[in-house]
This record gives sequence, structure tokens and C-alpha cells, in this order.
Amino acid sequence: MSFDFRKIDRRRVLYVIQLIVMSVPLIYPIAIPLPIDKYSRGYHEAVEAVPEGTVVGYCNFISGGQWPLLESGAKRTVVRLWEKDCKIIFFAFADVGVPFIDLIIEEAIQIYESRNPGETIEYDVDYVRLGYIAGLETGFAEFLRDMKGLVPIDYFGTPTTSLKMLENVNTGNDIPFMVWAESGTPAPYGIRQYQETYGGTMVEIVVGMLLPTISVYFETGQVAGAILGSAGCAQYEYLTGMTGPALRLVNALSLTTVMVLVALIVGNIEHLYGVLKGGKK
Amino acid sequence: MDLAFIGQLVAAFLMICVFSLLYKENPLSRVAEHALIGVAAGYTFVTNFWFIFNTGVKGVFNGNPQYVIALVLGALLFTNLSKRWSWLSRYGLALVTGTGVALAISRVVLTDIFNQMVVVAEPFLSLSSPVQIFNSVLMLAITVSVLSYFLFTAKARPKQMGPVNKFGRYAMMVSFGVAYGTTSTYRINMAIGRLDALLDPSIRIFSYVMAAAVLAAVIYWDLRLRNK
Repeated sequence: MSFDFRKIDRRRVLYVIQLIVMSVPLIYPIAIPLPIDKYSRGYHEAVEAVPEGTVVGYCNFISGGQWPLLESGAKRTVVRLWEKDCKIIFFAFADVGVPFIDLIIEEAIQIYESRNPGETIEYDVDYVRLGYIAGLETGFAEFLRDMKGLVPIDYFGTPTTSLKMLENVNTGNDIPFMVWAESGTPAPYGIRQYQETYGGTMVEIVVGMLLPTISVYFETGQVAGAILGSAGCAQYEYLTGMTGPALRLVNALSLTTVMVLVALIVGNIEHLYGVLKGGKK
Repeated sequence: MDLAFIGQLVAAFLMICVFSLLYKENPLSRVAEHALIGVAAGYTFVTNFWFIFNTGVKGVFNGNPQYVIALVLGALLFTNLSKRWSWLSRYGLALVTGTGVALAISRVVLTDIFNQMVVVAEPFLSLSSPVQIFNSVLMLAITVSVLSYFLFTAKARPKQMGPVNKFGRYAMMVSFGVAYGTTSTYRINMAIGRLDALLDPSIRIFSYVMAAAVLAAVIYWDLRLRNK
């Protein structure tokens, strides 16, 4: 029985090769130079410029698919804000973002405590969790107008009116800094309802795919900075001096992109060869 | 063995089942897909239910009778399930759409139009660096040419506009190319993220074993199917 190679689905073969190429830097990390882009720099500078003790909003849309790409940046941002004694209000306008807030807080506390021995993070002092809020743009507008009215109890069932950290916080004016951690779909309503209406500083943690969307708002200054995918996370790790998993991921991404480029070139050469021989059109 | 570790293993197994699609679609990959959809739907239902319960239902009993209106309008959305009463769902939908549109439009002009125009015009006004001026000229040219491309009222479209429209079309193609490139990179990035989770040192050995087992099961299933 002879095996006909021409019958193999070449896309599947390419995917398998791609999986192998991706796996190599994940198992055996390699060093590839990492340039810092203006979005990550802007993000870092904006976080560093937050005054001590500021109340910060943290809206999380990151879910399972984006978690490995963005978790590093999200956690390190929270750590840096806590190191500046900021009070963080965690909430989510996407239900899938809620459980990942648990992970962000849990692991950010570990990083914080390892960097600052003897210091601890306390609920209702350093952060509060408001859980899921429905309504997207409408919900967010109302949240910024009357937070305690819209969210009567926090994630753990405590009335928000009795939370000490929120004593003087109820509107968008009381939150001068906002971290907007997005997933796959662009949601400029955060900019519309918060930055444009209340004038606070806004930074975004988004997947790299959103670069064309974010760059528009970055150029206008509506977004002070952005972490773009695992590459952005790796850059932020470098800028904050908190090394983590993103660098490994970005190496795998670079290598895989090279492989895709090579496949594209080879595919086109083969196609051109076929056309020149008159076999393909 | 703690719960988080078991969760990691289950996630790894389901991921491997999805990756088995690379061989061909099989019962294991379908189980993983269906499990994802089922869990996501169940989770969304429960989370939203408790949000409505805590905010709306409890709100009514805590002295906010206005929430009754929201609850009734929300309940009316379910009338969509009946052909006879589905018209009632339009009231709730109309309110949701109307409020959303009103909130968005009142801000879109500033956020998405005015501020972008200012950025295009600023370098001209402040006579900043030549590079910035060049960028602004390019941005202005692209804005005008793309807008002109979408002028479909044929009589108002003189022939001389041809090169302008063509330039607009090329600009859009470049833009779509960038969008496509970033999208495909994102997909690769997501696959890398999943692989990284699979190759996490704490479960790496289990991943190898599960991958081998799933591959063997899929090949066995495929061979049996062919023999039938």
C-alpha cells in the first residue's frame, strides 16, 4: 500500500508544525531582544504618575482565552498600584471577567507580599470587590453616576454603604484613575462614559489585536497608555522590574510569526512556480 | 491533591480534546466544545440571575419600588418565546436600545469625532515637527479620500475623483491588512497561551500522557469508523 503525500491536508500539517514551533520556547526559553513601544511606556508612566492613596477603578473583561496573554500585566499593575497605597475598586461588566478578578487579586497579593515583606493587603482597606454589573454602557454610566445605588452589596454580600473604603466614593469624580482590562471586543464606551465625562486618566490592558482601535484613542490622549497582548505584558514586566511569564510567551510568538512568514513566502513561491509552469492560475 | 490542581488537569484534558481537531473532528473534540458552551451558558445565567436578584428584587423590598418597572420590562423579554405575545417584548427592548443609543450618541461626537479632528489639525496649528506635519497631511488625505470613496451618489461624483477614490481604497486595504495581521497574531497568541498552560511544569507530564491517550483514542475511533 503506497502513501500519497498529495492527499495530506497541508493546513493541518502546518498547524502541527506551528504547535511544535510554539512549544519549543515554552519548554526551553530563548532570549530574543524586546523593544519597548510607546503604548507600554505611556502605560508605565501613567501608573507611576498616580498619586499615593488614589482611588482606582479596575474593570475586568479578561476571561479564559485572554488570561494567559494578559494576566501578567494585570497582576503587575495591581501590585504597582498597591505599592503606591492606592485603593482599588474591582468590578466587571462581563460576567466571564468575575472569576478572573479572584485570580488577579490572589496572585497580585503573593507578588506584593514577596516584594514588600511584612506588609499585607486587606479587604476594604486596599481594595473592594463589587463583582458583576450588568448593562455594559448603560450600566457603566449609571455606575459612575451613583455607584452605591447601582451596586447595593459587594461581591461578598456586604452593603456597599458600610464599606469604609467607599465612604467618600460614589461617582466617577471620586475615581481619578481607571484601569480597563478588555478582552477580544473593543469597548470604547469606557472612554466615552468615564474619560470623556469625568476627565479621569484611563489606561487599558488589551489583546494585541486591538492596536488599531487603541492607537486612535492613544493619539488623542484619551487613553494614557496600553498594554497590548503578551508583548505589552513582557514590556511592562521589564519596565517594572517584575519578571514573569510574558517574556516566554512573547518569544514563542516571535518564533511562530517567523514560521508563519516563512510558510507564506514558501507558499507564494510554490504558487508562482505553478503559475509560471502554466499549471495553476 | 487540591481542587485547583484538579481544575488544571480537567482544563488541560479539554484543551487536548480540542487540539485533537488537528487530526479530524471526533467525539472527544465535540465533548469539549459542548462542555464549553454548556458551562458558559450556565455560568452566564447564574451570574445574571444573582445580579438581578440582588439589585432588582432585593431593591424592591429595600424601598426602591421603581425597580418593579425594570423587572416587569425584563420579564416581558421572555414573551419572545410565544408568537402570540412576542410583541410585548418590544417595550423592554425599545427601552434598552433607546437608553443605550442616547447614552452613546451624546458622547460619540466628542470621543470619536471631535477629538480625532483636533489631533489631525493640531500639528498644523502649532507648527510642530515636520514628521508630525507629514503624518497629519497623510492622515488628512486618507480621511478625505476614504470618505470620498463612500460617496455613492453617482451624479455628484465627478470623474476627476477617480484617483482620490483609488487612494482611499488603497488606504483601506492597508488598514484591513493591519487589522488582519493583528487578528491572526492574536489567534497565534491565544494558542501559545493555551500551550503554555498545558506545558506548565506542574502538569506537563500529565499533559504528555493525556495527549498520547487522546491521540490513541482518536486514531482507534477513526480506524473503527473506516472499517465499518
